[in-house]
Amino acid sequence: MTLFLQLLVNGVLIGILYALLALGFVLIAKGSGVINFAQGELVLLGGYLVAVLLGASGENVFVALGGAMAVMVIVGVVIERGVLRPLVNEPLLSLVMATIAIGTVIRGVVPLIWGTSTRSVTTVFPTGTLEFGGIRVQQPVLWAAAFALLFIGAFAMFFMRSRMGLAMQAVSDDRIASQSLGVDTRRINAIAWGTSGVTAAFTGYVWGSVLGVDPLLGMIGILVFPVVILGGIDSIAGALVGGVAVGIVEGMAGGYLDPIVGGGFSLVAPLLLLLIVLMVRPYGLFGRREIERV
Amino acid sequence: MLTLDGVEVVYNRVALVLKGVSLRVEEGSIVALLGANGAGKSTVLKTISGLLAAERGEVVRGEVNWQGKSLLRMPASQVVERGVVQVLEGRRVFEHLTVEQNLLVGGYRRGSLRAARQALDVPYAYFPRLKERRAQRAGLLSGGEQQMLAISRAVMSNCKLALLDEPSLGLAPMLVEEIFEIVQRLNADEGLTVLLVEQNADAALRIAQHGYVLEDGRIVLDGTAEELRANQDVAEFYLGLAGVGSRRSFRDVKTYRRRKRWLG
Repeated sequence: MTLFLQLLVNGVLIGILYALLALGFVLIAKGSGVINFAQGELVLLGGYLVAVLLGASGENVFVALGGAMAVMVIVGVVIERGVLRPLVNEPLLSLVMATIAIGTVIRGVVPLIWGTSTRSVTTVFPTGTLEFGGIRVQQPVLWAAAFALLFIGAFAMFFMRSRMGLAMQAVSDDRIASQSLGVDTRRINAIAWGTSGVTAAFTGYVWGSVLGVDPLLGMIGILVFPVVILGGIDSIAGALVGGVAVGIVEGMAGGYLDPIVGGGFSLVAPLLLLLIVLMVRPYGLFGRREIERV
Repeated sequence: MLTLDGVEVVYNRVALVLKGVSLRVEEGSIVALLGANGAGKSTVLKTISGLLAAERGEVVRGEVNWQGKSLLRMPASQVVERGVVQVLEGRRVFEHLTVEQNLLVGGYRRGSLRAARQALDVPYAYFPRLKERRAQRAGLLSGGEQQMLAISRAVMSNCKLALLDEPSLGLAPMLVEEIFEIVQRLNADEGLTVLLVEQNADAALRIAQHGYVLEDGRIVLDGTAEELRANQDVAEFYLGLAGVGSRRSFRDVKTYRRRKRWLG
């Protein structure tokens, strides 16, 4: 029983961190209708920026995180202006290919500038382990998950309660109709990419403080894809539920099945879950199904 | 007043769709723009509202003025700012947002969500059915309700001139009547100027004071609603009134030629 609860708690905590990663995808999908395959690489860039700025500012987390977020906003807006804006009204496939290209470029450029060695990101969270009735929780992970949850909640509020958030959803629903009502769609897209940059910096910091920052961090974008698809590409609630589901399944598979099959099953389990969900609900748990009136 | 002067529009740099369209819409009036499929009616509206660019269209000649200022080459967001809003053909509601959220997006140009909320009363007063369904997803509304929502969204943007593109499309005659009656009330009570594009000429000419007939990118006829109703060609090809009670044959070459000219 203790093992079960331990795996459950671990799964939930890591799942929330997955959800934070998925949030980056959701922001772009909701705000501009594009699936951004460069999100993992943006997180990579954000993580390195935080690590570098931490070194330069004498370990001042607020300066480092704030600076990284500012730079990432600019990166996001530049990507939107330079790459995606000229492709407006082109087929979705072209846009997706463009984001893959951006990801490849970032993955190549980052090691060129900062090398390939792993950088540790000092955590502001208290270290050490807490224990409740036999269940042990690493404090940094606990705090990281708590802040990730806050961050996700803030964005959910933004989408439901703010003028910009509503406009973003409108643009992803029907671009021309939004335009006809005076919504400046180009500005909305730029904002979507800017906020996605902020998310990437924050995610880079949180994941970096748990795992350390190295070029492999970029691959996380692919690893988290089951979460994104599972929850539905355009739902924040879906990202959260998808993240936690994947975290739990992965943790349980690792705890119970890995010893039996000889390890590695925890990597496969989320994908199996994804397959099953896609068979039942192809648009994900919370994704919008195309509405058809009969 | 809205005036179009010899407007020529080209799509994709090759297809000349409007071949010199001139028309005027007095403030406070309802003007109908009639024509068959592909005559260029929607293009006229997009030329005014600034949505042409999204479809690779371009005004190559002519002038579009609203209240004495040119709207040419103005992005759609600024055209809306000046009180000119197009209600797109096919309703185009934001299916995944609720009715109220749709309306709030309509009030985007009011600057804040609070300002948009305060404006909700106006569309709700004219379309009480939308108020009942405010929390429902717009994609689940009936066609008539979606059309009401589309018009209400424009009202939310504080528009002075509404460009309605085929509001009767795909609706039952009773609903068309209801919606047109509300448009008429918006015109009378709120001072909303309306440029109405329609294939349903009968319904359109009933609420419009003035009408234009567009054919193959050119205005071929214009006059007051009564004059157009009295015109033999309009009566025959748009209102379907001629020859009631008597069978006629399309072998009759003269009719065929005239009809062909109308339908292009």
